[in-house]
Amino acid sequence: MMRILATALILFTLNAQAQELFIQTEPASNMPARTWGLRLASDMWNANDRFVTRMGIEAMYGITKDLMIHVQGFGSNQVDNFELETYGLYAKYRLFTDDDFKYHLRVAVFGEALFGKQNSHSPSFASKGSGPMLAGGVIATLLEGRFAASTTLGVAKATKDIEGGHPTYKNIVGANGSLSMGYLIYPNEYESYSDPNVNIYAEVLGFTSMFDEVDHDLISSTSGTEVLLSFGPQVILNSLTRIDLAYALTLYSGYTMKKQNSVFVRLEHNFF
Amino acid sequence: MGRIALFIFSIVLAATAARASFVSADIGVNGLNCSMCARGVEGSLKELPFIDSVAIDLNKLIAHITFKKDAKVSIEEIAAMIDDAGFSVRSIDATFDFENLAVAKDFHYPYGGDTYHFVGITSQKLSGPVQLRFIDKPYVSKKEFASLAKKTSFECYKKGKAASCCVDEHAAHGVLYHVTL
Repeated sequence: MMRILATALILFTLNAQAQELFIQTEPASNMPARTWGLRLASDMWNANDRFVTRMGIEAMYGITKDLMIHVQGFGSNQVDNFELETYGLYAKYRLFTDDDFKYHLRVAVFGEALFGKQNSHSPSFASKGSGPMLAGGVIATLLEGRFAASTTLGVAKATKDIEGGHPTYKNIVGANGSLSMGYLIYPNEYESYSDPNVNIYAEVLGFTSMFDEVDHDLISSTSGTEVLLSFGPQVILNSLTRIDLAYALTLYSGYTMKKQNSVFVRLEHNFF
Repeated sequence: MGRIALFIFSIVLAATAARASFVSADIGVNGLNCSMCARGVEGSLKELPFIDSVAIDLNKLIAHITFKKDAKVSIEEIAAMIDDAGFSVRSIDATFDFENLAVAKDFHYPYGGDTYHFVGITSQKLSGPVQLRFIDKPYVSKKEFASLAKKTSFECYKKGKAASCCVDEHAAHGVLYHVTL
């Protein structure tokens, strides 16, 4: 019996492919050269019985097989009415590739710059798009059969201080790390491009930052950490359109203003 | 009369020469793991002017390509397109329509400005559609490459480019490909 189960499990694993398209993080490579894609996203949460959403729009382009750029913009109703908060560029460069049959390992470096308004309440980098920043880091993505994993390590620096309330936060710098894992649950075997694909993802995201907390005349250098667990499904239609849905749960927060649990929805279309 | 005969002969010769061409190719693609990525590869390949159709087997991860009739096919450009899409070529098996061509071990066949070096084959005549396997280093396993390298004394195969062996009837023009049957 055990042998049959083991054989079935091996066959099941060998028979299909995974996606390297994570929900909360970027894979080491995703756009073919000279093709582009468009994303619309919304992160939604409840803040003091008020529905808050941060919407993102992102156009992605593969300049070469190794160099990919994204132009992005974010807006939210976090402060009051819906307004444009930040906009900027994300670029990643693939440094290492090891390809085999239904397997790949890729490593890329990335850099990101966001400009615009500082709407963050908290000196944490967990709410992307809420404030201007510079960021950079390394991504490693592994695919093997139906399983996909990716890790990102990066640093970030807020380019505007948080001065909207009390206390205010200055000189915010941080480090981020994530581990994303995905599994293709459907189809078992492809028949055509029109087969919908369903993947499930679990991602752990860690953010830590150091900053100066200024309360009237009192300045203290301090730090904080936030750990999020995000999980949810992804559906790919016609091999061109992707729908992501995730619930991001704040497992731990060392900040005064903890990041609220949120529901994340994204629509992506690729123009191959 | 002589001129007419020469004219007819030229037409026949041109028609015969045009008939020898690539018909189709099966390209194994590595690193590919999802239907969305396969669709990206397919889109890239369709940019090549000599490609008529592309269909990717999503389970075996092989791109089945057919070529436009009598178009000049560049295997190198196909490999470059797959590379551009972010993936790599695992294997190339192409079908070539031959017109009574006598081949032998280390025979160099000029086609479309490029050179096809036959490795490890016996003397024979090729006629009609014949499957050619591309055996240059990137397209075969390490083990297979080592075993194929023993079947030719020509160092161009081991070097992966034209070498001192590529002279006279073995001269390499354009891109040098190593193939076997």
